[in-house]
Amino acid sequence: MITFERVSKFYPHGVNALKDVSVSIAAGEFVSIVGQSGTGKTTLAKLIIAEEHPSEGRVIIGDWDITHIPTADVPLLRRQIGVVFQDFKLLPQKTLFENVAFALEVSGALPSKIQQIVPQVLKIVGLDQKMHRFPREVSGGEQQRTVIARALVHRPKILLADEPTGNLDAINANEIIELLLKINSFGTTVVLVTHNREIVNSLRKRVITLDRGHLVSDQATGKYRL
Amino acid sequence: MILLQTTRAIRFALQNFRRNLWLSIVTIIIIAVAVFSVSLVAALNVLGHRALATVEQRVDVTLELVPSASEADIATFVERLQNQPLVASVAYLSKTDALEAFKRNHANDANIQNLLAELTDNPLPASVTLKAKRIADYDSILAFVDLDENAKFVADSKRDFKDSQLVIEKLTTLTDRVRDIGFLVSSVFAFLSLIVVFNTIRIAIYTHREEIGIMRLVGASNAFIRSPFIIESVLYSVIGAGLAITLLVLLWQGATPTLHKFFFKDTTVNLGTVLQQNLWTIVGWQFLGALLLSTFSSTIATRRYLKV
Repeated sequence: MITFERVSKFYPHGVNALKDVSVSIAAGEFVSIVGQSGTGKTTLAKLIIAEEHPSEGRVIIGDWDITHIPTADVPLLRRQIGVVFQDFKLLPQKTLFENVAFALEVSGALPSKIQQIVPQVLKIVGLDQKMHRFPREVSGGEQQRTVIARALVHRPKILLADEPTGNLDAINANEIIELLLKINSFGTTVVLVTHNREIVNSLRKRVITLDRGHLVSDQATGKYRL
Repeated sequence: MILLQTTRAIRFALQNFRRNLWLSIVTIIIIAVAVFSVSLVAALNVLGHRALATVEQRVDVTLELVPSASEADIATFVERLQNQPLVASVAYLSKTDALEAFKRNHANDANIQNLLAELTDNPLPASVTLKAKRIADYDSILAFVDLDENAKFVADSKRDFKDSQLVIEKLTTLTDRVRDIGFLVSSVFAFLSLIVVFNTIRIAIYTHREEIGIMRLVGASNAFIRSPFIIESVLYSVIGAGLAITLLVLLWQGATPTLHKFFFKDTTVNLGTVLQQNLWTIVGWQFLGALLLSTFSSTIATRRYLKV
């Protein structure tokens, strides 16, 4: 599903974010990418959604080599990958329903489809009773669940979560992880980028560890080792 | 699908417009001023040319013919004049017609009517009134009239075109100067509009950076992300041009009596009709100009600041 072939990413002023990383993630896997801050985790995530392009090597999503993906094709790629970030990126003047619907609206979905899909995904994340509230009227965990719902509206094959629990307390963080596991159980490939030791250790799923841009460990049922 | 996306893009554009309301108003005013200044220059040009045409139309030269000239001589003379390439028209007035016209013009003057009744001969001369194609051609035409074979038929001539020529030269100079200054002023305002629209769109992009980020994240097409900003600038130009047109029409209507009094008194020129005849052309050019200006500026701004 996701293949990195000898990928390196260099930034100006001699910053080497990733060095010769080769890794493959199969469809339906739940993979945690861990490492200290500044080890290249987010760069790896950005390469998956083509927000960055590799300096060397190849990135392949499914059968699609996105190493030199044309700008016009990036939206098509992003509709196949749901993205969740640490900062929720919700629009404060829109309700939870409207925030989720926004993703469909800007992608050209018909109103009837929006009315059908949005309540469904909000139900999956357990917010169907609060869909008409504004982000300020719900907890951080619920805001993050809304973001996950928004990421699911295109029925993506991959869900990429970059530090989704970074702004949450332990209880809300666990709820989010439970939700990611639930989504994974539907067949969606989940890539979790995190430096939260407890979460990674409790998952008992595949763990890829990065250190200073190098892939230093790839365990099928791993633990946070650094 | 296209209709749906366009409707949504328009909705986002209106949202942009509302959120930066004051900036939007300032942008519209600048566009309106730019469009108005161009229109004013165009209007003054139209007026100048109408005034020139009116003065030129009034200019003619009347040649009084000698009483000894026979009908055949006169016919030859008129034909010669008509064959001159610089002559626009030749009108012959016989002695009889001149008398009839004189009687008509003084029909209410009893003294003149009594005097005319006492006359046995017609004292009025036959005459030829000629118009040149251009005011500058009168000198050449009169030089032709002064040739011996023509001058023998001419008793006297009213050559009052020199004053008119002077007026025309002054008007031409004035029109040219107004056009040059107007062009300069319009260019300055057009440039200002470019800068202001560019800056407004830049600020709109900054204000909407969150939405733009989310749109990119969820797979909105690049065209869709850019389109609300282009539509917003189109909105500015439409409202700006609309304001300028309204102002121009009001000013034209308000100034028509004064302009008519000074420039077009005793003429058939109707300034209201002039505006009506040219309104749609002016409106079309104004909208097109404003549209091109703001679309160009906003396209540059989105390419520069909207990384998609």
